[in-house]
Amino acid sequence: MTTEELLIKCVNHNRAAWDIFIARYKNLVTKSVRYKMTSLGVTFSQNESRDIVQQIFFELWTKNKLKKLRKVVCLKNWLTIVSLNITLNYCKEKTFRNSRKLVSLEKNLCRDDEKHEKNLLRKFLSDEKYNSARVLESYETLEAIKREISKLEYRRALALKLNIYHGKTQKDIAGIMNIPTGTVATLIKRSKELLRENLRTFYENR
Amino acid sequence: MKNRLCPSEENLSVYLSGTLSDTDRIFLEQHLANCQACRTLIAEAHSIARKSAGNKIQKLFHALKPGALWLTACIFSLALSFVFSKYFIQFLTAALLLGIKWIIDSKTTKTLITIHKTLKSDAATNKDETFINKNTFND
Repeated sequence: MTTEELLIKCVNHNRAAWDIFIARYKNLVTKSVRYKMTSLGVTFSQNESRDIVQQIFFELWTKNKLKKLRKVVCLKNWLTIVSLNITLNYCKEKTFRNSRKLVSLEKNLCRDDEKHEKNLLRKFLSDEKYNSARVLESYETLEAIKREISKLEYRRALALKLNIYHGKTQKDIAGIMNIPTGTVATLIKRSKELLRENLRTFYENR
Repeated sequence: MKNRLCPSEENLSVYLSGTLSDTDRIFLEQHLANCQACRTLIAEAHSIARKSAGNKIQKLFHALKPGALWLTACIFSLALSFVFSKYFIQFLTAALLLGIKWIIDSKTTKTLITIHKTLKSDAATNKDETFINKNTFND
């Protein structure tokens, strides 16, 4: 059975087709749930992740969400995004809170689990003299970086944020934005230069 | 945090698959540059998709027929024999053995062996029959 046929049958609440749909996409949904829970730093048991997976499929069935899907090609991406959103809501309900902490200069701006040492906060400071133990000022710097990035052109800002905050490589960003890797490299390089210049001006004018 | 201005899950998935129209794309990228929640969602979905693509290679490897697997190993070993010239003979022998294994395991060889065995058994039966006939004739 093709995916298109399967989706049509699922939208019409065909039980057998729904079983096939679950069997086919259960792994992807489980993977998305676990990824989200890990990135949120939530400890979870096997049963808990199974519960969320069940909840996702239940919501898809009861709200007939598959009806909203217009392009079959995007099914996997769509299912991943839906799973991530439902997991996030589940975790929020479970009294998950993001506490605001003091920011260290050694803070890694990248939220992804992969290690990206080059994205340490202190490396974005304009000059070495600002690098001395000004840990308390680092929060201000963080805000300044955010503000300066927001001033950039939207494509530059997006590429830079994906690179710095999400730890994405140039190849990944090219995949997300659907543009050549060379263009991404230029965008990021120029954006970083601009950011450094702006930060230097910001510190000098302070 | 997501708000009402955030694009739908469907629009985000279409953007990720690279099939969004130019106008929508510009609008969505402008939003992504400012919305942390949507950007995180896109980045995470892309990571998962990339990991799944990695698994596809594994699946492809498992889906390879045993015959093709032997042939691949044979070619790989042959290539290695040239890369590591110190172990040229060892890798060459391995390639030879894997090649023999591939030939033996291939469907055509198996069919040929079956035909040969059938012919052999047929010949043996015929021989017995001739022997019996000869005996009968002698009697």
